Amino acid sequence: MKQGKQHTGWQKAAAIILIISVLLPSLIVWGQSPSPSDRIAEYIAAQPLDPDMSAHIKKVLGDVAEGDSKLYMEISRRIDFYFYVTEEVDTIMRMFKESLIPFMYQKDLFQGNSLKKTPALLRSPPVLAPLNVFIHILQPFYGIAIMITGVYLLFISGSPTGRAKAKGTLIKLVLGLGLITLTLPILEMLLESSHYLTSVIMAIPNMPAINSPISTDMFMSVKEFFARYFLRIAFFDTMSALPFLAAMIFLPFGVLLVFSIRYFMVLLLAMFFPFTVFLYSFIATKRIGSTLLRQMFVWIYIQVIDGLILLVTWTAYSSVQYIPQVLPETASDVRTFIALAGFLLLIVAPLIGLWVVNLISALGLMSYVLIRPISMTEAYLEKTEISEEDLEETDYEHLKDEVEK
Amino acid sequence: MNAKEERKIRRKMKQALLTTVIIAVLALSYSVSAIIHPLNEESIGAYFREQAAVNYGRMISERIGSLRNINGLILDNPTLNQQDTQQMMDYFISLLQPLYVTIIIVVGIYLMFFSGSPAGRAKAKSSLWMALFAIGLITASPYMLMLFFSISKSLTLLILSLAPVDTEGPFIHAADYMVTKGMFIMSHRAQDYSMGDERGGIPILLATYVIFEGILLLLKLRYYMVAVLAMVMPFTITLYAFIPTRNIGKLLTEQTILWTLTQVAMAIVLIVIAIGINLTDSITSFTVTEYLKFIMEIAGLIMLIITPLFFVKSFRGFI
Repeated sequence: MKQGKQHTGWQKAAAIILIISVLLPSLIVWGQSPSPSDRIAEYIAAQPLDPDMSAHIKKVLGDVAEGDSKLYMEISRRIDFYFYVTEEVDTIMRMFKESLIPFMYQKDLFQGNSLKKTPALLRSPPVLAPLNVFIHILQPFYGIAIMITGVYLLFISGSPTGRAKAKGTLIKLVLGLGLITLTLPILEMLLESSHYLTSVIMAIPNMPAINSPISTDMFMSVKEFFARYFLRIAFFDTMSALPFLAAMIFLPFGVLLVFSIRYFMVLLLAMFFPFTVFLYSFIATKRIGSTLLRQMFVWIYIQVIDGLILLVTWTAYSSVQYIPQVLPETASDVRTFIALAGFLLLIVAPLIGLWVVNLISALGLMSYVLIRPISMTEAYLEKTEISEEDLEETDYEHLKDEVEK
Repeated sequence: MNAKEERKIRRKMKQALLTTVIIAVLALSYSVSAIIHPLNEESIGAYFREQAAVNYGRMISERIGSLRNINGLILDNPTLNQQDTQQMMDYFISLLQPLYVTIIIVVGIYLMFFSGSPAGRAKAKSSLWMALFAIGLITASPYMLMLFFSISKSLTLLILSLAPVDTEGPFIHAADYMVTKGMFIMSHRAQDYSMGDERGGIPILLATYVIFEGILLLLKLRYYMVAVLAMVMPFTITLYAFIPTRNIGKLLTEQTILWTLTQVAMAIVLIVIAIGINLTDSITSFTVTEYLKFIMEIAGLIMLIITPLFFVKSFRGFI
């Protein structure tokens, strides 16, 4: 009897152990695994998707979910990352498309809004305050320089060469003083001329004979091109797909970055214009003044180059269909590469601008347009003051050349 | 069945039962682990991702903390009356002073005993004056530099005071924007599951860190360049005084002036960025979206980073 009871006790113990060993892990599994596949599928289903792609993803995820939950989660993460990135890139491209042309023009810099009663940015108090301070800093220097040159001319100078040089400096200083007072009108004139030139270039496709206004939609093809490759690769390896993602983000980002730099550079060079003129007035600092002047021209007129790039890109983009060598099935890729080239050209536009300004300087056009009139004024004023005796005493031709130089 | 046989059967039954239990436990553990293991691995991975994002965020926050004092960092100049710098400069001056004293003595002896021609005497006299002027300059070089630093600092301070709003605001906003995006990509959750992707998030966080570290590095670089150039100022003057080494002296003088005045250039760029960002609210020809503002802030950051290099490179050769 006792033995029988013992027998039953063992059986009970074994049965309890068995039940526990089955139930406990099951409970743990149940507690830890809230069936991720269903919940993630639900999350992914909530994303805006093309029905075909949705079905395809669903099938792939269903297949993976049954076999490997880790892989399932990994793929889910990649899909989620793709959704996020696509949404972000769409936002960037939408913003790029809408703001490319107005941001290129940046006409708020020199044009106020009469309806909203806002002044041009260059005439707004935050810009005027530092500009006035810089002018106030420079005015005493100009005063001292003019006074010293005047004293030299009146009492000290003996030789005609010295007198001519002093007179040249005096004229430069007086002209400089006038120029710094006219900082804003000069800059506005330059900005307006740049804007006008750009708008003329941009209006070429609107002419009745062409009637094909520039559309920034062309840049969307680049995004679609890279997005296609990004999706295909990101599904298998996110790391390898990152260069396509970087291209998608950095192309519009780069263009807007260059435009932003132009916006800041115009403000910076406008505020610094009095110093530019001052530094340009003296032989010792002329090089710095000339560097600053060159930069000013590059950044103000860069929009003309941007306009030209847009025009050329648009013309090439919209005329691909007329090229007989391009097959219809490859036309879309050719268009994409044209838009891609447009993107890259817009990014390197400042370098093109610098090259153009250097070329103009090398040809001497800059000095003809800007410096020649000043030199001629100086030469004229000096000529009236030098007597015939002085002309005989000194080599006037040599002096004239020097002054004109 | 006797008792012995019964015991034997019971033992066998016990053994069979024990074996069954062990097999059942083992089998179940294996299958459970097959389910639990990937989930544990998943949660460990998510934890690591989240921690990496948090640590990146912390690192960037530290940089932002330093940048909150960007005005102070730009204004910072090496103090030449500090013990180490002063000792170094004094050492260089003490090295050069005997050299000049020797030159003065030699020229003096030449003037008194050897010079015959008036031209030779005139040359020697001018050299003597030059040597006396140079020794004076070398001895006064720390004070001259201090004066130059204080002029540069006052000018920078004046420019910084012209900013209409806080100058560091745009950078902090840009950093916040990038960190938020990066951390979201790395550690966001959906339905309680981590959907973060470190491969997508790390480049963004790293870029943020590099940009902000870049600004701080350049500010520190300027500080050390100014300190080194200030310390070798006595040598600069000596090199400038002699015709064969004049070019080196010229280069060093120019670099000292340019690296010191870089703070003025950085202050101007900083206030222009602050004013430019501040003025975006007044733009009426198109809508400045949050993202465009962010790009403008990044453009400002890049401009600030390249300012010292651009300034030193563009204005080289003005002496």
